[in-house]
Amino acid sequence: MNARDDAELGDALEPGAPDTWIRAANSADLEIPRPVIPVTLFGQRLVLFRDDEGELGLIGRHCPHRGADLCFGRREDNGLRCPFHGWHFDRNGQCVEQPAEPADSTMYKTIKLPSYPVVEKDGAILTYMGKGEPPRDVVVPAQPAASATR
Amino acid sequence: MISEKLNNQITQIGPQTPAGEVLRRYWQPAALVDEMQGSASKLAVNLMGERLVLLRNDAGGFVLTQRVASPDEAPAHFPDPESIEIVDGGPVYPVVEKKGIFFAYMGPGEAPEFPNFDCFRAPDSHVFAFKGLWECNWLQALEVGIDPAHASFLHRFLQDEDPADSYGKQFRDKAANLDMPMTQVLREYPRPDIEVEETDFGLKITALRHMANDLTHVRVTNQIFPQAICIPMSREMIITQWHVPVDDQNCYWYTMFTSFSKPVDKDVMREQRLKEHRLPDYAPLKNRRNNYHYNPDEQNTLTYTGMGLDINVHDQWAVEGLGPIQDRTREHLGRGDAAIVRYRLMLRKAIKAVESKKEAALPMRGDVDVSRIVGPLSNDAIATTKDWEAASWQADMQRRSECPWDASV
Repeated sequence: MNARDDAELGDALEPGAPDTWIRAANSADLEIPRPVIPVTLFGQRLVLFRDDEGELGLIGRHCPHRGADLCFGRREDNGLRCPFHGWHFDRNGQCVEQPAEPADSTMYKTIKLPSYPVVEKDGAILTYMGKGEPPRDVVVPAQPAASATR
Repeated sequence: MISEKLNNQITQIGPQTPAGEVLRRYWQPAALVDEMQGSASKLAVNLMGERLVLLRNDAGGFVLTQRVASPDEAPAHFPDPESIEIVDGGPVYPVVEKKGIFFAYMGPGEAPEFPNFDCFRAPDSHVFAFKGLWECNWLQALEVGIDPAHASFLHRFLQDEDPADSYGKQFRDKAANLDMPMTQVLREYPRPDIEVEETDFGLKITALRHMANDLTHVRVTNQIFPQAICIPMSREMIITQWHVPVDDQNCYWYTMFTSFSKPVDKDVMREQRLKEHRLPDYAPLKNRRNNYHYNPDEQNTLTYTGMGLDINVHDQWAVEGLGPIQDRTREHLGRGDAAIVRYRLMLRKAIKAVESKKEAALPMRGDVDVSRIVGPLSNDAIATTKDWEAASWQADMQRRSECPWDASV
């Protein structure tokens, strides 16, 4: 799937995302039995979660099938599964399974949610939404860039 | 994916909108008879983007007309009947009462006759009507009802209840003639083959779940044009459900539960549903504002959604979560969405017919004798794979032949 299609799977990214790491949440926000929370950053509605390997994913919040809210997704099989039709996404937003589609379907390979790189440092969960590659030096900004509300 | 222009065209229903004009060519559920209590003479009705009032006239009949409304009132606002003021010179829409629902005709010309569907044909004792508010556009509410695959996921139960406790509940009965709960069939066979066929009333949708030992589970559901579905609920009952716009961003489901053999236990049915809704607007107690009582532990162990056992709540979460009007410019439909694609084509064809003044071409309009439109057949059956078609027909015929009212087709 090309970049243009990727953009259509999520909300339009509003201008203003800096070319620096920004704070998406705090590590403490995910210290809950089911580490899945909504995060809205620069107009993009996203879901932040920790998969079974303990790695973080920050991916589009609405299932690309019909738009169901993945904040209520099933956290299983090392990813997030949409409760509407079972589409399963890994931490990079790649759809890896469409269990209601015919067994010979390869449509899932063409479905990818927008996703952003995530690092964890000094109790902060940081992401990069700027142009090009993120800076190699990770500097923790003092203020959160986002409010995490469902 | 469709364009924004097309999405607007097929979702917006106010007066003079393309889809609104199609819906206005058919009788629309306006209120439950339960809502017009005792000697009350007025009831607020919010329907198709219009602010209306149901009036009891001196002859004991009913009409629907406009009421004075403030622009900031809630979409499903129900003012005290005493305070309702009627707009002088507003339109007057005819109303008929059918099996616990007041239907209104808001279109031009003569209202069409009612088809001879089971829900209209069964005696009053065998039909129970209820409604509930969903905070989203009517089309996404309808589309979940013509999507046979979702039941294997959204309504998945990780444990099966005893089918003996299933009265009045969807999917909790035994599957057809097998000693297997329906919940188990749905869970174990999640990839149905879906066949969609255009009929004189809308669409016949057949979901085939090929099981072990060369058996196939056949579930037949229907789309009744323009915005109803007819689906099996249990071996005894079927559901006929309309998705009726309040405005562009809110709708009511109106359901007639029709029983073949025994009369419906209306007290049980009403009590089961009233405890999930508040009056007078029939808004569900589980909703967006309280996260549908979502419980992650339950999602791990009992239900797919973590939102309780009532499948209505699962559907409500799914359709409301798509936004007030689903943005279909971002959707990615698969082969499981075949009936949705087909339905949108029918709606677009109907929009064109109304726009080009060829209204006789609309389903169940024109010279069609709708009294001959019966059924539709809605059932679950299990058969050896090569016999599924005959077995599905046979299962329905048996139920109909044993029924105390005339359910022949």
